[in-house]
Amino acid sequence: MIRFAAFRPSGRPARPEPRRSRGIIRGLLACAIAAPGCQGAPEGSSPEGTPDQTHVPFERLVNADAEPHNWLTYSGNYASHRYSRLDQIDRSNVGGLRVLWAYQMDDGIIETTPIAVDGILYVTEPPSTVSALDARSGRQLWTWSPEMGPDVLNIGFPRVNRGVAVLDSTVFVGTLDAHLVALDARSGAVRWDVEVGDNAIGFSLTLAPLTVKDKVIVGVSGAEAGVRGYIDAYDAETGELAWRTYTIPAPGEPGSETWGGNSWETGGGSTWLTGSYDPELDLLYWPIGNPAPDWNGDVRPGDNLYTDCLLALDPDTGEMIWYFQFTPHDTHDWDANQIQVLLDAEWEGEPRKLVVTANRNAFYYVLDRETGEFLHGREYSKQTWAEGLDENGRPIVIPGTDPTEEGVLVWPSLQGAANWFSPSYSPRTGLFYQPTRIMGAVYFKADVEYVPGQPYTGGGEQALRGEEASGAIKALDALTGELVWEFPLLSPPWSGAMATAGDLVFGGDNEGNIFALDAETGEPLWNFQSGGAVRSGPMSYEVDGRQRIVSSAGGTLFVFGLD
Amino acid sequence: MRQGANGNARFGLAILGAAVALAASPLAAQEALAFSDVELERGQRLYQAHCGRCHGVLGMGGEGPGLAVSRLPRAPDHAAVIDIIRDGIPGTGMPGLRATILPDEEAALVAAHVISLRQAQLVEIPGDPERGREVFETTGVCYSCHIVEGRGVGIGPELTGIGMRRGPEYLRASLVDPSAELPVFRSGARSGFAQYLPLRAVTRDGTVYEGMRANEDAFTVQLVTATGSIVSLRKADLAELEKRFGHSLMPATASLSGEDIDNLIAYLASLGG
Repeated sequence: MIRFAAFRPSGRPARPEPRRSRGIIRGLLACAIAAPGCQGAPEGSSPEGTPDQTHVPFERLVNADAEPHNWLTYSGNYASHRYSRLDQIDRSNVGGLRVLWAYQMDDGIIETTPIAVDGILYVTEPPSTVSALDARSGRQLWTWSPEMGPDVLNIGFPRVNRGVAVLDSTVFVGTLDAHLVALDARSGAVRWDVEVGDNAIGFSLTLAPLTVKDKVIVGVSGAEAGVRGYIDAYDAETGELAWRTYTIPAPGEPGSETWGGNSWETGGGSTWLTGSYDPELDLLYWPIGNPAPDWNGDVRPGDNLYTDCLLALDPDTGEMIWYFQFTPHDTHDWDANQIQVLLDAEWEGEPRKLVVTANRNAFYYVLDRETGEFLHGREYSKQTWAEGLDENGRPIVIPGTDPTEEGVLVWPSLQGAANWFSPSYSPRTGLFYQPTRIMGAVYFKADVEYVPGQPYTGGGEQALRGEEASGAIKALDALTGELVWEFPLLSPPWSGAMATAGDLVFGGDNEGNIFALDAETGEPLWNFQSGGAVRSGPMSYEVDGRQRIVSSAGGTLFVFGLD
Repeated sequence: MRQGANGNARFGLAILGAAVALAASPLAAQEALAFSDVELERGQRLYQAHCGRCHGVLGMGGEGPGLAVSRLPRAPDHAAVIDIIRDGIPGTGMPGLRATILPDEEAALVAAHVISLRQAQLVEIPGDPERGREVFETTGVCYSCHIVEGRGVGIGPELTGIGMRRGPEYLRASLVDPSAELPVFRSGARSGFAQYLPLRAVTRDGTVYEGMRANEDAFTVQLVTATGSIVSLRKADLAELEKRFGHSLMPATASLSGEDIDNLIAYLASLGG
């Protein structure tokens, strides 16, 4: 169903906040209301002749590396490097970094990565609010919240949002009640609002969408409610569904033989983290989540394709070009929803296009991203469930590691060695920086029956805690996964990392530290005790010719600089 | 006599019955009777799974207080038990169990079992609390490290109300072999981390600090020395940081007789009861 802001025949009304004082904004709002889809000013300029700060055509996204003062996609570029080419802040001066401004949000967990476009930061606030901030001062320009009742379901994850996507003059956000909403970038007015999935049976959107060409691509949460997952692409102008690719094949479709009985109908395979895109190959890479029910695999005999897979898709049609499954017949909730990092390198003497990922199951993978061929894999964090990977990358599972009614202790815990929080890849060091959770858990299996809108998990875990668990920022050789250095953390982290051209790696920990490490050695160079747990998507931008570092902690977004 | 002893009684009606019983009579113990045998048995199993680790499978206590006692001061009735199950008790080891872990229906059954435990009154404590107080104040020299009701020195855990937080067997183990197991945070951001962990830190210039960990993160550590000084250290300045698991600064009470220890436990168990 598509709901236009101007017509709004039924359902949730848009509620843009009335914080618009400038004539230019009012004028554009009138335009948007009069003609939904109207893009306002012509490309590159505003009606008043000043440079258009809010126009980001697809070409700018493809060439994001050419404008390091901005941060145009969730992971900084389509290759998902989460690497800033700004180098003003470096090893020699990072010790002088201080808070320049902070933006306080309402209660809730902040997992947003701000998008920076020419002096404006677009951030999301929990659960599904979007705010535009003056990147110089932190003052709010506009804010928009969906109207959601308190009964919105979030089964299997907290009420979070990881950020927006931009394309042309529109900002796109997924909401906890599983809508995708297009907002005018200057005013926050709603251009269109579509329902991606039915929240009453467990669908939600927490990820930052990805805009590719003329489409907005989103994935869904909901495997813990037994949904059948899919990836959707919507026309950015109109909100019409362009394609939908299910992650669980129906009977007769390829891969359906990996599901017993009717288990495919409630098979999970959610798609809740932003994918990557290769403009040259014109391939979209999207990671897929766990099968449902999570911990009781008896009801779904088989490998359960395409759960815990990486899919390569045609972005125009959604057609699956190849897949690679990390954890066949997963019984530990090890979604493959980790950031997929694209890099080009020499592999055994030949230039090769690669996709690398540190998976939740504690193995690091190197794949050929044209074909999906498994090239290399190795353990990067403590694990006790597999002897290793075979020549095709399939895990050699150790018997007796599936959950039982009595409980079985296995590393890693269900939250995995990696999770949603981003790794970073620095082309300067060739290192892959992975915040790593070193934690085991006792896994339990239980009987389970599918009830729509209820948890469908079939067990659970008791994770080791306190001194029995720990964390680290691990610097891995991006081509081999071998450990080069690690910086220990007191507890398993929930924050992403960002490397910069200043040869720094920024990260955060549960104890409240936002910190910078030497990208080559791991030596700690700066830290700020924020007073709140860090669950951040760190990023960097530039305003007034000065580099800024952004990380959230607790309920606050902090912006740091040297001046 | 069981009200509504029909095993097929709907849960909602059972709770309604409990509410009516509560309203009609201040004797809250009657309310548990609104649950059928089948429900109480299920409540017992859930209790064992969720609560037994700290409160004891039989409700005789452990790291948490015994619940098989005549009166639970914080939880006089079924509704109050449910509130504690949901919200936990801030400042103690009692965590709140959310509905995703323990649905409403199950929380009500667990609470019913807890209420039923009071009839068992299994927790028996040998010893004389009044004599225990004397031991505490004299030969035990406990005030030199512990505060009770405002008196004493705050090096070790405060013992005001300790009888409401710990079971007698846990208290005994803490007295006889304090190094065997350090208490851990049971809730909050530091859940699972050891409390009162002895540390030995040596700075790069050779200064040695010993004490108990107050807090720690990747960059800093804070400790309290045996004389009560608070020391803040940056890990970058340390040559060595030893975490002495398996040790406690609490001296073993080997010099006390078995009777003294019994009396001491009786005194501690009476605190806050």
